[in-house]
Amino acid sequence: MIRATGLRKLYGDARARRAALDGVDFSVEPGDFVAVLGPSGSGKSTLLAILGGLDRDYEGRLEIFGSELRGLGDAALARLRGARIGFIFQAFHLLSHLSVIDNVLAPSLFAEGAGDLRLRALALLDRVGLVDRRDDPPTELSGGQRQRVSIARALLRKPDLVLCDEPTGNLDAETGERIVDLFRELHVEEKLTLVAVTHEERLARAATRTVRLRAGKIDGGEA
Amino acid sequence: MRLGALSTLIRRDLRRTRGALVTSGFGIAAGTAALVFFLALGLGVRAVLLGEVFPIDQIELEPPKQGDPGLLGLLVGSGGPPGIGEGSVRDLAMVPGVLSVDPRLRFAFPSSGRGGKEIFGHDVGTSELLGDGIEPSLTRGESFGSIAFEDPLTHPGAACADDGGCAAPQYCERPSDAAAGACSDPVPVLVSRYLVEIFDKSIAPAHGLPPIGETLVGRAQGVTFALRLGESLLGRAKSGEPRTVRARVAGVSRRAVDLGITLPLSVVRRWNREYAGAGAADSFSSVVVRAKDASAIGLALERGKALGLEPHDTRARDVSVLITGVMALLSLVAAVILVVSASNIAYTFRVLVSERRAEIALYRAVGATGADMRAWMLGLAAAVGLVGGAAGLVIARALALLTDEIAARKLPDFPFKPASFFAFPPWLWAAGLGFAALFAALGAFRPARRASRVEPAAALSGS
Repeated sequence: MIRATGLRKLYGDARARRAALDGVDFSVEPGDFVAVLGPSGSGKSTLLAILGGLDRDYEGRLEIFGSELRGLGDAALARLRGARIGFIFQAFHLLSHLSVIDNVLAPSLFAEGAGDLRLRALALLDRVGLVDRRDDPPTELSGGQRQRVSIARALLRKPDLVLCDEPTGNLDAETGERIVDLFRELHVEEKLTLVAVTHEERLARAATRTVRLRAGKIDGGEA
Repeated sequence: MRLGALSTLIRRDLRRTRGALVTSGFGIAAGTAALVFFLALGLGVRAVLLGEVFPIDQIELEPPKQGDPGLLGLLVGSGGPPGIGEGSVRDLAMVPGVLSVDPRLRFAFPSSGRGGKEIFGHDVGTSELLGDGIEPSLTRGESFGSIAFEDPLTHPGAACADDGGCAAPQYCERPSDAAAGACSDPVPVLVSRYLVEIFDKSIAPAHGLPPIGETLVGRAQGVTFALRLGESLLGRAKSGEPRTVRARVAGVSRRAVDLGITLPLSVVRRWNREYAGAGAADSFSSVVVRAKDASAIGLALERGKALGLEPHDTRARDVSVLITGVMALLSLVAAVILVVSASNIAYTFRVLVSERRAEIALYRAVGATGADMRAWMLGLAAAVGLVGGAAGLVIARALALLTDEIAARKLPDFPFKPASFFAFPPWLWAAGLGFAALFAALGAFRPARRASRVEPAAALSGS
């Protein structure tokens, strides 16, 4: 599903260059639940952004769903992201001017030929226990509820791969635990392929595979 | 992106960013209102001036005016101006875009008129009366009631020696060198709307006469008056004996000469021959060229110049240039307002894109292309432009109505005073909206490009 070879990402100008990723080799197979662990600044989020095609300024080779990412144009990459990749962010990135249901339906605006996704959005909200809050603005929800809305949004178009960036980072321990349980359920029941970057061990424990990053490099192989 | 999705995004934005967008739209509305108001004013004034007062789609060509004949010329006669032959008329008719070439033959003799008791209560007269003749066929399509605009001698009456031998209103048409004549119906006469306007707004008030008014011209139709041929206040014709004939007002015609009366061509030919000789009867004194537009008139002018003819009156061209210049100037002012509004839009959208970097990045993450984001911003700007433009059109129309109302009440009557000074053709509405949307979209062009280039990873991480 994902084959990354010698991924390298540099920040800064010529005088003060810093490698956020420094020769990372990484792969994900269908059905994997991979946790990428590492301290802050280790390059986890950078890796995730590159894997999701959100950051194309990298060196190395990256193949997703059989296509070399660098060979895709903007429109093709956008189509690939919309149809096959779901994103979950630490900061949720819900749109405060929209209701919960409209936030979940946001990807449908750019889904040509996907048909009416409203029923699926309602089913997903039911799945995450928020169907009765569908008309509320996200500002009236708790952190955990917001993250569940963003999970529903990520799953709307039945993606092959879900990329999660510190999904429990803004949540308290108990709420975070519930989100981890939800990921575990989705992975087992929906056969979702998940890649989650985190610095929390509890999420790593739910994963089927963990990768540790330190200073932009894979640290000590995979577990 | 589907059109439905684009309209969803725009509708949501119009709701949530109402304040900032209304401010931007206000400038667009003001610019559109100014542009449409000025253009409508220009078009309205142009329609009156160039359509009725100085028609731009027609020009009268004539041989060059002769210079000062000098004392000798006055004493022995200058021989009269050279005429325009049938060949020149045919030549001009071949010019592309020319619709018709109407030859005219002016009176080559002094004349005066008296009559009008039926409408004025007493006879009024002119000590000098100008006139010309045209082919009756040129008035085809115009209605003069029961009066036919044709030479009365087409159907001559009984032979006569004087008017006493004819039953009224007929008169005895007997040339001064002929022993006998024929009873003739009064000669049909056409007048121009221009003459009616001048009479109503200038002559009638000055002499305490009632205005005729275009609608009252019908009352004057059929009124007969005496026409004195070969003699006027300024003198007598060099040949022929002065005599009086009867004429009858047939109606108002676009083909009539502006200041004077227009008769059937063969009548003027006959009288010119009687009072000024064959030379004044066999050729035309001018031709009126009507064309589909001003550019065709330009071609006709060139051809006329080659034939040795020059325009009788260049006021139409002068007025056209003046109006075009004024319209251009006023439109420039309006365009400046629109440009300022566009820069206001640019500022608003620059702020909008900066504030929405994360939102744009999120949309990019869930499947939007850079082009989708550009279309979103341009669509939003165009929507603001359309709404502002529509408001501007309403403002312009309301201002025009108000101006017309004030003009109707406050401005004194003057010739050709129109009911409305404005013209709002359908294309002007469409152009107003189009310009509003265009300028708004132009203002948002750079911000929209920035929106399409937002780096999703950086924006989502907050850097």
